[in-house]
Amino acid sequence: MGILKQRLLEREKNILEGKYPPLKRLEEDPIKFEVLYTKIAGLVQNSRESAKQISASPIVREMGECIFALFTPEGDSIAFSTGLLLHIASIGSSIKWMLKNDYEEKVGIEWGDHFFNNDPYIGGAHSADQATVTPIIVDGRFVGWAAALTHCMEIGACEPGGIPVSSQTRFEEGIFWPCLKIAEDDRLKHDIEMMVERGTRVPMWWALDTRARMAGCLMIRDGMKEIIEEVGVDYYMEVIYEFIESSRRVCVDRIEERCFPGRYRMTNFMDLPLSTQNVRFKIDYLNAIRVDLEIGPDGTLLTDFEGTSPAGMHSNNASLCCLTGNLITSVIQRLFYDVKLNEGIAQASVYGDQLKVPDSTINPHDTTTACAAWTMGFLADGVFLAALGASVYVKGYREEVSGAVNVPASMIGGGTDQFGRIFAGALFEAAVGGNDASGAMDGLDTSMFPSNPEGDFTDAEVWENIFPIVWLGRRKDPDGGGMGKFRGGNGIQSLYFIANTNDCMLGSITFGDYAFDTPGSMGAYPASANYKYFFVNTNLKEAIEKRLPLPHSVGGDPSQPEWESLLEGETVRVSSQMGVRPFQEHDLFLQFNKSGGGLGDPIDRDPKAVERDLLRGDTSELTARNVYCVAFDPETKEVDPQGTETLRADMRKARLERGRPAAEYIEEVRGKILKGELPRMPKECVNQILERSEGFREEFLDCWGLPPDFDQIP
Amino acid sequence: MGNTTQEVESTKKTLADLLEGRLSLEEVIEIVRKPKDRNRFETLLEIEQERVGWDDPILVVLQEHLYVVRKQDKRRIVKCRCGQEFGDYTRNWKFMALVYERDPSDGQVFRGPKAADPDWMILREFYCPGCGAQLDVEAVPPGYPFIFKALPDIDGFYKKHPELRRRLLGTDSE
Repeated sequence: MGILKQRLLEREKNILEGKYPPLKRLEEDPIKFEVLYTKIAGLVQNSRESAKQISASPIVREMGECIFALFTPEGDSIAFSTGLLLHIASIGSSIKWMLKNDYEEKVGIEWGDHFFNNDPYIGGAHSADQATVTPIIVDGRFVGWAAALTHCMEIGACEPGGIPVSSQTRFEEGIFWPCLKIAEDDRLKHDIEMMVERGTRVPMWWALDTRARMAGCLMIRDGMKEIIEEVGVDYYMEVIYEFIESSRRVCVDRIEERCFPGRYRMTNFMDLPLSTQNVRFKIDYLNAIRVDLEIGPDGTLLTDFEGTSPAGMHSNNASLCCLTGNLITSVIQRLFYDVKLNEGIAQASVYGDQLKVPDSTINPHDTTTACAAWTMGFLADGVFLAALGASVYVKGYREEVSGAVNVPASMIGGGTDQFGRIFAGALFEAAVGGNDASGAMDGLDTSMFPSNPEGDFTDAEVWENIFPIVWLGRRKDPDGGGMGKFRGGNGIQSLYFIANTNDCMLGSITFGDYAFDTPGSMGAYPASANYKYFFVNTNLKEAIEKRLPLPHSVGGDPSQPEWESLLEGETVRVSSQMGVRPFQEHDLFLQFNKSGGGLGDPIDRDPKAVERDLLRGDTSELTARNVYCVAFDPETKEVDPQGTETLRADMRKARLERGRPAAEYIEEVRGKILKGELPRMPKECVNQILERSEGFREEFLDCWGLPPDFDQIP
Repeated sequence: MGNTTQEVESTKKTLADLLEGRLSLEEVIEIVRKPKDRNRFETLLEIEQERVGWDDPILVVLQEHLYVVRKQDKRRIVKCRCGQEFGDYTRNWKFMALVYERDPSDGQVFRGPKAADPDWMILREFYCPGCGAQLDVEAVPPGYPFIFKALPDIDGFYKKHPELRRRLLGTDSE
């Protein structure tokens, strides 16, 4: 057995048994300890900022979908840059996979080697996530790894753009290279480059992203060599484990400080109407994610996803390392934002037995399962955050309360661009979802991308060079955020048209048309459902030539899109998750990035906040009157306090009249369950979980008063 | 070093404003940036106890409008700000609430394509029978059981805070 493998197994055993290292070096000289960590963190961050400029992809350069890091020899992270924090866990798992699969002996690990991984069941979220790791050896001692990960825009899958949303097995998702040695002596192998040249639509994305990662890794490797020589290898090899341990301890204390102990449960759903899609297996899915978060009085965390739907023949499943990465990203952003970014965070929150995930859509045991879009990972992240937020609420830190995050959207496409070149890529306007409301303020509008807190929106003009599309408008989506005492942040809608090409395929990744996917909490409504429109066979060309008024958004009433009153053409409503389909020049395409859920009863909302939202166009007049029950002057939007009081009193009265005692409601639903009088999708969803989860079954029988021998909804 | 009376007052007022959404975004962000007030939980209970119109000691603020309180006979129950009682806190309070199943496409809350499809999902609104406050909205497929969201470990918490325990639970051994 290789030495590194031995050390890895021993370390894993120790951590699982709770045998953590003492903080000897920290106690000895805390200044030296912190100075060294700052130097390392600076080096890692610097490598990210420099390497970003080598990539040509707007996803990496503009949006910042990349991350750089330093690891221990066993694959535990010591320091991460900012950026795509989702991969804080996944790169390490690919290093560990190599060691456990005897790479030391069977492949060889030498100075100058670079290993490439994009297998999401080993590390990463989908094949577009590409990691490179390179060993660091100082004075003949193996001291660790430099690592980088970028999101690549093309990977030779069944659809262009790196995220083949129509894939139904992993084998449709392009090149899969499980920890392949792609470079020796710091030189990319020519045959590997040829393979990419022949295997992808636009090889430039892979070639430049890979060089960006390698350059960043070399900066880290060579920089670390200097730093280690300065502090001495012996000191370094002790202190790195203390960096991790000090993070772990801070995280445990933080959980104890911020969270009220107890059991917190959240559930969320994903709709996937594949029967309407151009795919081989036309199966509709309604998937549930359910989490129980147990927080101990001493800051322990136990996360259990029992009651989650099984994996399916669709691309929204998420691998275990994708899920773990999502959860860690969440706790970093909501609890551990000032902690040293490393493995200690994982050890305090989701390590070993702390995370229980059944064979399901967020941990398919069958690793041929498709996962290109992996949106169930976002959903799992959402329920986890909402459960965590509920415990923070009870503890009183309302400003830190989190709700369910939304699922970001992106677009994929390929064909011939406006300059006559082959194009293939993914359009990520994703960093502008609306945030969830906290317990003290509204969710921020157009503010967030869950897996990449540093993600940027990117300029429309940059994308217009990559895709044959032109923006007609970008605007906040009014009434997008869930209505509540604190409302969810509004996402955006973008309206594009296809320019200078008739060879353009576009597809879209998101969902939530049939089922809300971003719930509210404590009396608030969920974020609005999603929808997608095309407007085809248009006279846009003529309208532009004649300088007629053009549409810039869907308009005030989404049931009657604005373009219908300005242009000729045909509106088509399609599912938000959509495999690529052909478009013609001057077709219009409406895309959303979603909004956040609210918190608290909408009629507890400060009327002045409603007035402000009316003036800004964030809330419609209809919602202000019907949901927030605010009376206002239609011209100035000024709130009428007395009228508002009356409307709110009327609403309370109406609720008391229409609400039925729970026992009566339960009786009615029980009858429907026993007779099987439920719609097809809810029935399938519940029956699938009943089959798999004893915990859910007990809850189900208890709620509806069903006999113990109840099996399935007929 | 203890806080002065003035500082305590100011913290309490700021916290009361925070709870009611009376602080600006900038003020909330300022609070996010500062080190956390370790007495937050205690101050929160004081504020909430002062503003409810009843005397049962609040053990936990469970969510908007709802508390877990201690009754004189030591029972711990869920109670609304208005005084409505929902029974033992270890049982989902939703079983004692009013329920309204909303078709999301009824046009009252979500317009046109912004609503989910009622064949896939409904909105289940839970109201307090005492005051009509909307306490939760579940967005679930019809037939999905009520979600029991929060079950705080009250004893686990108070065990670590003996002074609070003596004051609110009345005894060391409860």
